[in-house]
Amino acid sequence: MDAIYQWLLTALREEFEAARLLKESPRGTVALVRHRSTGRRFILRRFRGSAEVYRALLDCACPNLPQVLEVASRGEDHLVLEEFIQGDTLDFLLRDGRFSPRETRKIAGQLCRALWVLHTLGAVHRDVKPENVILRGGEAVLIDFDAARLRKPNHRTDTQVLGTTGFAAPEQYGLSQTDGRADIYSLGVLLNVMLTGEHPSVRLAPGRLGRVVERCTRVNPEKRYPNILRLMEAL
Amino acid sequence: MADNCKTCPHCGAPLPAEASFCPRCAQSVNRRRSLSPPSRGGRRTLRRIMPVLVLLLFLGGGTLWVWAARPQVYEGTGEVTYPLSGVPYRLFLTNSAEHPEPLPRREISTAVSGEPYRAPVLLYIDGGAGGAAFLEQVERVTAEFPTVAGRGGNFSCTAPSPHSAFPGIPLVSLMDYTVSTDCTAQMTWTFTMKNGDTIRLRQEVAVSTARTYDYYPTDAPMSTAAELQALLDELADTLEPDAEINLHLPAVTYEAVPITASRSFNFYGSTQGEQRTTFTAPLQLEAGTVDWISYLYDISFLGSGSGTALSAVARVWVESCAFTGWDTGVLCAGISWGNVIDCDFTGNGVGFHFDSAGGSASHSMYNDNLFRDNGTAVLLERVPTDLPLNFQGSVFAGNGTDIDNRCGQPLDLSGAVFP
Repeated sequence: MDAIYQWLLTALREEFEAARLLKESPRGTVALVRHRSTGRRFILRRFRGSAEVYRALLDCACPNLPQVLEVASRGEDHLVLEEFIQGDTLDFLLRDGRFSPRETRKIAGQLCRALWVLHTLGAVHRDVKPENVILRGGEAVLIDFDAARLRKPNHRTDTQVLGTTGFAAPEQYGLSQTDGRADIYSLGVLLNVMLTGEHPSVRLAPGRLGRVVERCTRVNPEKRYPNILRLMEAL
Repeated sequence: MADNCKTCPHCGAPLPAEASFCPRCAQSVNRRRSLSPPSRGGRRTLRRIMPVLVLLLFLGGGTLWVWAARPQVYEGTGEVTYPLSGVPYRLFLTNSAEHPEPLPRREISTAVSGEPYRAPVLLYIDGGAGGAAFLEQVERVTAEFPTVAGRGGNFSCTAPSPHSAFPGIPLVSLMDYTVSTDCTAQMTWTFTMKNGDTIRLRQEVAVSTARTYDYYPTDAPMSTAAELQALLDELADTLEPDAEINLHLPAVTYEAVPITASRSFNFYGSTQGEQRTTFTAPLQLEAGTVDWISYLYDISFLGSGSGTALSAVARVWVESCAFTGWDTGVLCAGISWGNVIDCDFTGNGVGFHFDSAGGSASHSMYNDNLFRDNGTAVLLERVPTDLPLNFQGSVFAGNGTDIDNRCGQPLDLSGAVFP
């Protein structure tokens, strides 16, 4: 583990140049880096904690998830190199207006595909929100797995409050373990924000999509769609 | 790398055997599987038709029954009385197990903008034997926040159920909220009775926000114990009691003099090179007039065999800190509640000591700690509630006693590691 971490550090120094620091937190940094000889841009994450979800995504390809290209760890320090997604975030696009039900349904379906892959790998994203969705051409791409974790069957409760309040499901604040239904909750909130600009507790979207939102965002996870496939069908 | 390497299939560059990416040509070199959800069209059609069939089957009889039963609706704010078999049951919502009085409007005077909070809402039932007969006739109970006045708040709550932290209370819902401005929300509990009646019990929740202050080493001197103490005293004297104060400490060692915080502060340690924010002096946390939690992150407490590294008589949350070589690492006393998470307790007489007489629980988790080579890793003398303490992922190794549970506190050790 240590050897490949050192190898990647050296390779990054020799073959890449820093372009921009995108995010800095106590947990680590996210930077845009440029490959010197090809000019291609990549995202480099350096953080402490768990890289298990990034590692699980190393062997996967899905148009609605960024390609994770390399994961290297030294103890709890991790380096993750991933595909740079060119496009605007939903957060940015929502500043200028709302989405039509048809557009919302299409984007939600694509996000469901991304979440299906994560859930199939035993992972929960836990931070589905407009800032973490990039529209690349006609495809929505779900990014940022910093809050994500693999589900551990023996853990009855989660360890920390993660995710973004308002989009995070109630069970993410403890007392029961989050599973894929926490992502269904957040996706329900996201759907409502795309349609109305408001959290569903403030104003629920009208019509059939509103009923989908209502079921996604029930406080009791048992009352939500049981899995992402059911939500895809409802959409 | 010479013994265990491969070459890039695109450019021929040598790569470690476990590499997934070639940094020279910026190409992926591992095999990827394409994942996409299965199609469920047939089942989808069947599922769409099924409700219609069921609906047609029961339409006539169902409609007749609804008209015949004519269920009643009972509503109230703070409290509501519901007659059942000649007994008037008084249901009310409140926030205190010590003072069970109806609370139609709950005012939470301070909350920090953008921070998530959780607070319990308790249901009391007067009449009958603790409301058991009433609860037997309840088909379903839900709690929700259908309305929020103002745009600056998000409110939700858990499904009502008994809670181990509140023994004797029939039902508890945990309210989660985040606000960015002052706002009011209305919580509604809805009881659907087996006889078809509906009871709606409401409580207004008004939340007002407090200010947050951040202090960095560039803002105020805090490089020595004396400077830090002076800053803590000044801020405690001059800032609003309900303000949230974040102190971003430099990577220095605070030596010799015990440091006392007379109100809640959040302490964020830092690392520069090999140096991490370190206390060789004890840190004492006292309660201010407002009962905020003090948070400590990324700080080392390095002792010389005596004294208590961190003693709290106020609520405290300690995360990613290290306590080494003290008589006691963390002591929660007075009426405090403390959580230690992802901490390292090594070579102390007692690692974590809970000896608190009152107050309420902040959180049930004590996860991912390392307790190593302590006389006693965890000493539970008095813990203020019966909430099970969960040590999931915590490792106990080489301690004289791993857990001295003198007060018989419920514990969840199913996820703890005792190698």
